Amino acid sequence: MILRTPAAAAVLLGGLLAAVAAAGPHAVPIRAAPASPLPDVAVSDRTAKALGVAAGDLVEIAPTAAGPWRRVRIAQVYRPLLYPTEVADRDADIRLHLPDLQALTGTGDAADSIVIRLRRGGEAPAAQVAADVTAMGLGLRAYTSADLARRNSASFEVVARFHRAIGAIAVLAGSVFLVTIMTLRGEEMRREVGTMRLVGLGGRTVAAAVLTIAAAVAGAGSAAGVGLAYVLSFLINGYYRRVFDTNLVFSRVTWGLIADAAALSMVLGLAAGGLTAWRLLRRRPLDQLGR
Amino acid sequence: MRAPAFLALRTLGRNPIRTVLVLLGLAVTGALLLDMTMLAHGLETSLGGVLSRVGFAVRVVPKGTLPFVPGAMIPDGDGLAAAIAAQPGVTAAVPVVGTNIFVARRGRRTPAFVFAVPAGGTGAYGLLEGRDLPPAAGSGAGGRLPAVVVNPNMVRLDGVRIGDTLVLAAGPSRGLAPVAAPRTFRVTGVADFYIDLATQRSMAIATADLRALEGRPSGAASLILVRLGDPSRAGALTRWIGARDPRVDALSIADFLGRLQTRLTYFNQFSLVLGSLSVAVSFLLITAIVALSVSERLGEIAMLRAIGFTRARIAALVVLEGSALGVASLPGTFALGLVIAGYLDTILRGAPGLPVDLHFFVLTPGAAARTVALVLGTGTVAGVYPAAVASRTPVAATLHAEVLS
Repeated sequence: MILRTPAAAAVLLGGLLAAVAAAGPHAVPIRAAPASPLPDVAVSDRTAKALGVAAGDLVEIAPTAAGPWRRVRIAQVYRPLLYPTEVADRDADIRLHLPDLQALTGTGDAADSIVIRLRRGGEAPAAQVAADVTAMGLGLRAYTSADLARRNSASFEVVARFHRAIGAIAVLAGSVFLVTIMTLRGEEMRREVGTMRLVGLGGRTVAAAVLTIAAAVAGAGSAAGVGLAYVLSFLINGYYRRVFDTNLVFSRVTWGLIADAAALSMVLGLAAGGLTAWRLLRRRPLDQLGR
Repeated sequence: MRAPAFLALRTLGRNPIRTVLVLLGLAVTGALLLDMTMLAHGLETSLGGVLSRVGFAVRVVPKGTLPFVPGAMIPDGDGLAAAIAAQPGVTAAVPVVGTNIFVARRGRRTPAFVFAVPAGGTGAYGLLEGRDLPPAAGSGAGGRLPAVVVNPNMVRLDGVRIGDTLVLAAGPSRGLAPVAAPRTFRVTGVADFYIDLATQRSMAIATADLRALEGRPSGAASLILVRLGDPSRAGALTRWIGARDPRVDALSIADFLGRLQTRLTYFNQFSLVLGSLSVAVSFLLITAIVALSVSERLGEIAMLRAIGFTRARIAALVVLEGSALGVASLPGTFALGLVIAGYLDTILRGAPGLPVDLHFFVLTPGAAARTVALVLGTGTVAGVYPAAVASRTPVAATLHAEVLS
């Protein structure tokens, strides 16, 4: 779909065009204009901004760059509730009444899809209605909302798996970091541990001290990490909401996530501390003092 | 510089467990960095590779669209293709019609993508076995069945063989296709259609046969594929086509990939964020390790200063330690990075509607060079702070403290 302003100076290419019988629940009107004899269209706020048009303006639209061009009036500028897959889409988003679109494209009474709302409390379940429509032999295939959600969520499932895999790699990197830091800390404590043991402290006391240090490092690291996560999340949301001009939440730090990260950090920290304590205690005190 | 380099390497080798742990950590973060640099342009590079393999330097599409957008056609595609073919340096201009049709087989109709070309031998698909479409338009002449070339998916999924007959129909059911009757075709070959989905059924027939099947008027095309003797002339040709017909876009491979860029924003932004975090973690790791190493060796550093090492040489010694850690982590970075990239690529390629030849993670010389530069740069910069601390070490006081301890 091609759209141009009256002066034909701006041509927005590759427009996405939807035909609706009325403003649906997924459109939040921003501004509306009084009625007019020209066909009315609704334009998304991003499209209106890109074209520099507002409610009440006249624009021309055509199914292809070759025409035929039809003058229409922008009756409403609305903010669509975008799906995450649509936020990067820069195509124009225009909605027409179905007969106007059919007349423009010359497709008679053809429609891409038909949405069926069942009577609340009706006898036939959605799956049965869908099966009946498919079995009518009209060349149609009917899906329930659940079927469609399942089909359309496949991409999100893949992305979720991808994010989990990336998360696992990040945890691996963090674990190695923690073990390295604890090993270095243990090396630094070598003389202190040697002295502690020479003055009579037992191996358990020394191990407990090392584990306490490890837990403190892990706890402090977790607290700092949570703070950093909040800051990064704030920056990421602020940046991408502005870039994509949307209210979508791109990053969210939840209590469950914090609990998981803190628990994992503590377990890894204690494991690293245990390893360090074992390495410290297997050497003789005099060796640790360099004697 | 040889003395600081020697000392830097000796220092790293002095505590092998510590160095191995650091290198392991750097290998993991470096692997993530490599993967993100591969992801940043992977899909674009992969698609560019496939398009280059096909061999057409320019694609002409209806204005504002990408190839085979439903309903988008070039009104006088045949005429425009003939005009393009007459331009200097153009070796072929093939008008293509792409649409969905149905294959009637064993009582049911299966949707398939049909790729209609004027005649065989265009190179728009790669023949794997059998014969291509006949060179003359309208392959059903002389009472013979018209020819169809199918993709390997139809062989694998439907058991179609060369010599079989296929009934093709414009509509999904008998009741809804009164305008154009189904027609029977003879399978003459199997071909690679280059950008097929994992289970997509694709086939090629002559444009005249498709028009007869669908009852559509002649002349319009979904896409024009243009092959050039010298691909560097693509820019001049696209400008000429744009000036001749404002209803179309003529796209070189670079233009085509540029148009796809907006749809790949997610991966670019994701790789930027995660790549930056990898660099930051590597920086912290190297800084922490080198700083701790320096704090342990203050007496040794003061001794070096006392025997004549200048502050600059001490700083160079410590910075070199950071750089050496970066260099030493590179083999692990690439080994681990490629393994992880393969795994992540497998996950992402599980997404529905993705052509089988496309990959998200592609190792290019550019991606490798960027990773090496970032790892070495991070290692070097991470050594700057510890280097500053080391170079400012007071010689007499440190040696005195060392003797007392």
